Parts: sequence; C-alpha cells; structure tokens
Amino acid sequence: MLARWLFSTNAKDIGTLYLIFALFAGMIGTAFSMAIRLELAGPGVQYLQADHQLYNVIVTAHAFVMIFFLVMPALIGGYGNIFVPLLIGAPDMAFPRLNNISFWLLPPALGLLLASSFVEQGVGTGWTVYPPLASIQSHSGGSVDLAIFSLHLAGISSLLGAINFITTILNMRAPGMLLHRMPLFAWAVLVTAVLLLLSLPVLAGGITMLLTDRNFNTSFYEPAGGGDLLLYQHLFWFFGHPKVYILIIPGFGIVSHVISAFAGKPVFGYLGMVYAILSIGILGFIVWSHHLYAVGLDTDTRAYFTASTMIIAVPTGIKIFSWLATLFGGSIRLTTPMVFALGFIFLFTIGGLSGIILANASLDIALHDTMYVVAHFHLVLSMGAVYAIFAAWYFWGPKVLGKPYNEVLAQVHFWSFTIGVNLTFIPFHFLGLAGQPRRISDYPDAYAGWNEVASYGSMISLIATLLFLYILYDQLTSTVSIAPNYWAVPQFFEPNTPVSPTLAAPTLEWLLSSPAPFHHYSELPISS
Amino acid sequence: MKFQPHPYHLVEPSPWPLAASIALLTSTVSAVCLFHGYSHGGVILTMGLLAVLSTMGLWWADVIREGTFLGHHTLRVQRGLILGVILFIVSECFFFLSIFWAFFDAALAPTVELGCAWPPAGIQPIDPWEWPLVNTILLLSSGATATWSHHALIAGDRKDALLGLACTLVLALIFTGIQLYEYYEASFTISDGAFGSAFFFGTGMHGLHVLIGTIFLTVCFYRLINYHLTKHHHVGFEGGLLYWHFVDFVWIILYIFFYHFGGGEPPIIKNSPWP
Amino acid sequence: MLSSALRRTVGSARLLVAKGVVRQPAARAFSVLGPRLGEVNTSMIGPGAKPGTIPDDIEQATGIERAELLAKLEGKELFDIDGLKITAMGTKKNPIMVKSVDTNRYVGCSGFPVDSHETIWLCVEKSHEFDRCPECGQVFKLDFVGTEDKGHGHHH
Repeated sequence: MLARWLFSTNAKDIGTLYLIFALFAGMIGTAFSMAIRLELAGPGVQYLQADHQLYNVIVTAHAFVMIFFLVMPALIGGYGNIFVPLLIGAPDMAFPRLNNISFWLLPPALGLLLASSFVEQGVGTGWTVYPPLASIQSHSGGSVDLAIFSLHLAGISSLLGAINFITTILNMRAPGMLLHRMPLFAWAVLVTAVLLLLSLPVLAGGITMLLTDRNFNTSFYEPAGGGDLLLYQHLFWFFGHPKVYILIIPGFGIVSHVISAFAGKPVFGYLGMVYAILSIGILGFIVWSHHLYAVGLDTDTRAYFTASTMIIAVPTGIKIFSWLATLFGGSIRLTTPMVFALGFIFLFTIGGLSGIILANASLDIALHDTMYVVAHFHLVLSMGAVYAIFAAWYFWGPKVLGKPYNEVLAQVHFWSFTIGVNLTFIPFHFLGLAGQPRRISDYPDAYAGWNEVASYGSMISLIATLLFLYILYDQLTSTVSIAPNYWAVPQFFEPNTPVSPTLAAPTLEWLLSSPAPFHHYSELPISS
Repeated sequence: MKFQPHPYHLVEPSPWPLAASIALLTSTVSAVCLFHGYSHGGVILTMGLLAVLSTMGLWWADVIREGTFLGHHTLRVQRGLILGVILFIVSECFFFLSIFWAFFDAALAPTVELGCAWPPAGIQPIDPWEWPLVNTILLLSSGATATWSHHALIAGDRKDALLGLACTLVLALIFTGIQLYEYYEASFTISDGAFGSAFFFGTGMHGLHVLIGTIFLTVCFYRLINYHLTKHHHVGFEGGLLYWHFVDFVWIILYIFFYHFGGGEPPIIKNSPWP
Repeated sequence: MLSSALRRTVGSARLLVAKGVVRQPAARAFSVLGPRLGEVNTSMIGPGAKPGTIPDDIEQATGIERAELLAKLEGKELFDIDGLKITAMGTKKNPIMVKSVDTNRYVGCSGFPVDSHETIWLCVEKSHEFDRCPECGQVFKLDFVGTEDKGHGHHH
C-alpha cells in the first residue's frame, strides 16, 4: 500500500494521484471564487467587512490554486501521465521515479501557498506578484516569500515533468509510430512540455530576484538602487504568456480526441493540426508584452506586439475550423464528453475573440485591468480548459476507473455548469467595457446589475460542481464493469453477427481492459 | 532468464521522491523563518538542505546501481538519459537568460540613480584583465582537459582518463578558490545597487553551478577509479561533461559582458558629488 | 556511444529472448536459462575489467544490457524497435505474421501501401484464426513465440 501510493513509479497510479489532488485543489479554488462573488454580489462592503487586503489575498489565492493546482495537475499530470504512454505505446514514462517527485512536490507547494495566507497579511498582490506592492516595504511579512517558494516548488515539479514527457515522447514511441502518426493529445503534451521547459526557468529567475530584493537588499526591481520595476513584468510575462498556452494546449489535444470519437471520423487535417499546435507554441514566446501595453512602452513596441498577438489567432482558427470540418459529415453522438467538447469550441472561440480585441494596444489602454480582461481569460479557462478537463473525465474516466458514470446526471451537470459559468462571466464583458476595474473589492452602484447576475451565476456553477461530486461518487461506487472500448458502437456497415472478433480502435487506449492493467504493454504494440 | 520484451527501464518503487519533497518543504519554510527572524530558522534550514543533498545522493546512487550493477540501462535507456540531461541543460540556459536579461536591463540604459553610467558612479569594478582573465583561462583549460579525459576513456587509456579528469577537478577548484578570493576582496557588495545585484547574483549563480559541476565530476572520478565506466557506456560521465561545458560557456558570456562590457573605468562625470 | 562494430546489425532477424527458456544449441555462448537453485548463468556476468584498464562493454555489462549486447554481437536485435515490415496486402492465405511473446499483441494497421489510411489499432490474438482490419480488410495473424507459462519470471 505504502510502496504503491507513496513510492510509486507507475505512471497510471501517479496520474491518478494527480487527478485526486486536482479535484481537491479545485474545490479550494472554487471556494475562493465563491468568496469573491459573495463580496461582489452587491455594491458597498459586504461580508468581508472592508478588509480589502483579505479580498486581494483571496483573489490571488484563487488564481494560483486554479492555475497551478487544478488545471496543470489535471491536464498534464493526470491525463498526460495516464494517457500519453498508453497512446504512444510505451510501458511507462522515461523517468518513472522522477515522475513521482513531480507529483509529491505539489502538496508542499499548495501547503506553502495556503500558509502564505495564514501568516501576517497574506499575499494581496494578484497572481502576478508585481513589485513594489510585493516588495518588502509593502508586504513586510513572510507571506510573499512563502508564495515565491510555492512557485519554486511547483515550477520544479512542472520542469521535471516536462523533461520526462519530452524524453518519453521522443524516445519511447512504439515501433512504427512515427511522429506524424502520433495521436494529437500526445503532440499537445509534447509542445506543452517544451513550453514549460523554456518558460519556467525565466519565472524562476524573476521570482528569485524578487526574493533577494525583499530579503537580501538587492536592487533588481528597486528604482532607488538603479533597478527597474518593469524588468519584473517582462520576466514574469515572458513566462506568463507561454503559461497560458500551457494551460490550454492539452485541452486542444483532448478536444481533438473527443470530437473525432463522437463524430466517428478521424480529425480533419491531422498535419494542419500538428503545425497549428507547433505554431501556437512558438508564437507564444514572442507576444508577452501585450500584458504591458499600459506601462508606457514605446509605440512601435506596442505595434509589434499587437501584430504578433493577432497572428496567433491564425493557427488557432485553423484548429477551430478543422474541428468543425471533422464534425461535418460525421455521425454525431451527443454524449456528455462530446457536449463539453462542443461547448469548448463555441465558448473558447468567444473567449479568443475578446482576446483579439485586447490584443490591440489601442483598445487595451481602455480595457487593461478592467473586468473585460477577467471575462476574456475566464471564457478561455473556465470554459476552455475546465470544459476540456470535464470532457476528458467523461471520455476517459470509464477507462481509468473501469466504471461507467450516469449519463443523464452528467448531461444535467453539463447544462447547469454551462448556464452557471456563462451567467457568471459573460456579464464581465459589459462591466469591463463600462469601466469596472478588476482586483478591487467594491464598485460604484452603477455596476450593481450585472454583478448581481454574475454572483447568481456563480451559485449555479457551484451547485453544478456539487452535482459533479455526486456523479463521481456514484461512478466510484458503481458495480457495473465495462468493456475495453467503452464508447464503441456498431458501425452501420457491420452485420449483427460480427465478421471478425478482432477488437479495433483508432487509438490504443481503447484496446486495453478498463481499468488498464498495472503494467500495460509488457509487449510493445507495433505498427507498420 | 526471462527478460522483458522491451528495452525500457521500469523503475522499482522508491522513497526518494517523497523524501526529497519533504526535505524541500522543510528547507523553504525554514528559509522564510530565517528571513523574517523567527528562531531556529537557520538551523532547520541547514538540516533541510542537508536532507535535500542526501536524498539526491541516495537517489543517484540508486541510478548508478540500476545502470552499472544491474544492467537496466539498455541502449534505449541510455539514449533517454542523455536526452534528459540535454533538456535539463537547455532549461538552465533559459534560467541564465533571465539573469542576463536583468543585467542588460540595468546596464544598457543606466538610470539617473546610478549617475546614468555603467559601471555606476561610485562603483570600482573588478579589472577584467587580472584574476578574471586567469579564471577564464582556468575554465577553458578545464573544458579541454575534460574532453581529453573523455577521449582517453573511449580509447581505453585509463591513466589518461583519470589524469584528465583530475586536472579538470583541480582547475575547477582553483577557479572556485580565486572567485571566493575575488568576492572577499571586491570593493562592492550585492547590496550596492543594480550593479552589485546583477554582478553577485549572476556570478553567484554561476559559482553555484560550478560547484554542482565539480561535485558531478568528482563522482565521475570516483566511478572511473572504481571501474564503473566502460569505453562505450558512460552516460553519467557524458552528462557531467555536458554540464561542465555549459558552465564554461556561461562563464565566457559572463566574462565578456559582466566584466568587460560592465567593467573598466567609470566615466568622469562633471559636477559630480562623488570623486 | 557504442563502437561502429557493435552498432552494425546484420540483417533484420530478431532474437527472441523468451525462446531461451529452452536451451539454446550448445555452440552459442549466449544461453538464457532460468536461474535454478545453485546454478548461476555465468555468461550473463562478464569477467569484469582487467586492473589498470578501461573495461569494454562485453567485459562488464550485465543484466538486460548484456543480453542486448550479446545479441548484437551475434548480429541480431534483442528488441524490435523497427516497425512492422509489410511487403504485400495481408490475406487469409498469406496473413501478415506478427511475432509476440504474449498471447495477444496490439498492431497498428495503416493499410497497404503503408499510410493508406489512418492507423487503426487491432488486438491480434493467438486464439483467433485470423484478425482483420475493419478499414482495409488486411489480415494479420499472431506468431506466438512465447511460452504458455505467464507467471514465471515476472515479479509484479
């Protein structure tokens, strides 16, 4: 027991640990978001009793928990670990023991983050932790230092995981599985891992310099010593922008698998999808200053970043159109994973469009630090990444657990969650355009209407999330066992008495038992 | 003997990942305690860091046992290990990128607080033509002796392999010693504005990596003496060499930009309150 | 990493280790007997380095690395890293044979010629008379080269 779960070197077990951890952290992050919406439910001070630092601490913690302890562990640590080896025909990851430290670094990292809010005044800076607010004069206790160390540990966890995934995918594919035959989710994880490898060290440098500025009298960001506050912003966002692609690209991979499975066709334009993911990854490194439009950058600099940011829309659009083309002429089955994937396509596109608007330096001057930005990233995250997480759970969950979920309840979950998050975040566009700032715990009366709507929306999504917890419980306690290829349906051309008893599937994981054996592929799959 | 039909290494369950995480948690919490004056922060930090180092040692000792003594490292696994080392070094390059970014941010357009000059007004930088030049020669030579050792290893010449590696270690230690002396003798500290910050953070991080590389090569030396390495299977040795060459490369960039470009005599500023 | 002599593999034949549960013909140094009480398979442990020299792989390699090395010296590959070679469309009369030490193996079919259709993965079983790809109809058959004894030697 101890050896299996504490000292694990099995990718599927470690992936399971990640998913459990992500679920737990997701509940914490949701609780924080409820706290935010409760305070913002009406104008004027509500239950936080004018403790604006506390509000800022909650906002900061909400972001850190959702980004670093829900989305990344779920998509990369959870689904990546369980399914990348299965999809590429590898018996495990390249460095199974390193895989385990990547997981076990996360509970301490979460602990450090939560500790930061229990000591002194907490970290009331936003997840971006900009100096001078984050410097020693304004946050003089140990909170920011604890948060910096939390980021260090989470960063090391992801960096080692990235090395593991890249090596696995490049070195351990089954005989005959050339890169251009690799499933799209594996491609997505490969590109994500490269982004992690290259961006995390820059964050590490930036936040370590903040640590030394706070504690060792360095002057990296201290103007009095010749330092530069903007340096921090550049370093942070050089990491931060690839980071947001890291959050969404695995989702792209999942959506490709789900759409293909429930349209009954291979994804349209496989090579185009691969090149699109690669382009998004590469371009993601040269757009970071679109987060700095309002700091006083040179006009030409802003013009360049506007252009490069908008160019990313092209490969992204190719992906959207390819998914639509996959649906066209397919035999569509509106199962729960499919409706989440379809919801992803629609809602991520809307979020992307608000991103295009924000990409314009001119417009961003009006929209920077307003609720419009909050709307944009919640559309692409809560309705992009989170939809992908749910789609993957419903799609692959039966494979992982060997148990089915209740389809009716799951559809109710989808619709209630969709109504909830849309009611919550669509109004933020209006509020942002009307000028409500972000990261402020109160607002003028004029903004009350949409804020009330948004807070009701958050209640609905909370109830939907509780329903999801019940669906999970119901699934875990189910006694029904399922076939290897859970989603297979007879093709229209198949006779009732099968011509051949051969099990066949477009991707490898559906050939294994549900759940997969502890050591799978003791003999490697082989392809022509 | 029935072998697995695939060439990969399915590692046995191991306690080191969990142990390392606990050690890192201890270290980070105690570091914050130390920074903010809570009692015993320093003691526990020392213990935590020792725990981290011990765990790393025990972990890599297991890797050596698995590869050299148990034969788990097939060609495929060796390929994967070297790829992993290369990827790690790439990530380290990007870490130093952030350090150089900070340096250039401060140095290319020095602010008025620095006297609009680089080196800043009042800073007496270290003469690049003195000990830093010696250090450069030492490190470049150590890179050469390391390569010599590697070639000797492949050719089967035990004496030269050991001698080359020993020379590398000696040069590394002399480099470290000179750097420590320079640190002691420098007229400016890390808290002397952006110059001191960039200089000591950059050379300090480099020095940390020299230390890591030296330990890595020392382990290789020990293993070479004890016949662990063969003519064609010496992944740890190659990893150590790659890391050492990376350390050398970073020093060259540091030397050129931090010492030469960032050094020399500060300009004489008219009407300056400083001499 | 390996000298060119070792890297050269002659032909594409594949030495299947599991076959070695049965004694190899006496002429070959490479025998892979299961360890019996008191019996040590000496060819799996090299003589070690001569003092004062750098050992060669063959002197020192052990375990599965040695098995791979010995196979290479015989001109064979211990592990099949190359894909399945298909020279003609598999038919019932002339199925594509897929070697396996297990009673089933997962095979990816992309038609004939290769890459004619999106890869479909099949579970080719020993107990099946033949296995067919649902997309192109190509026929595969498992070439079982393992033993029926599934438990021996595995410790998980």
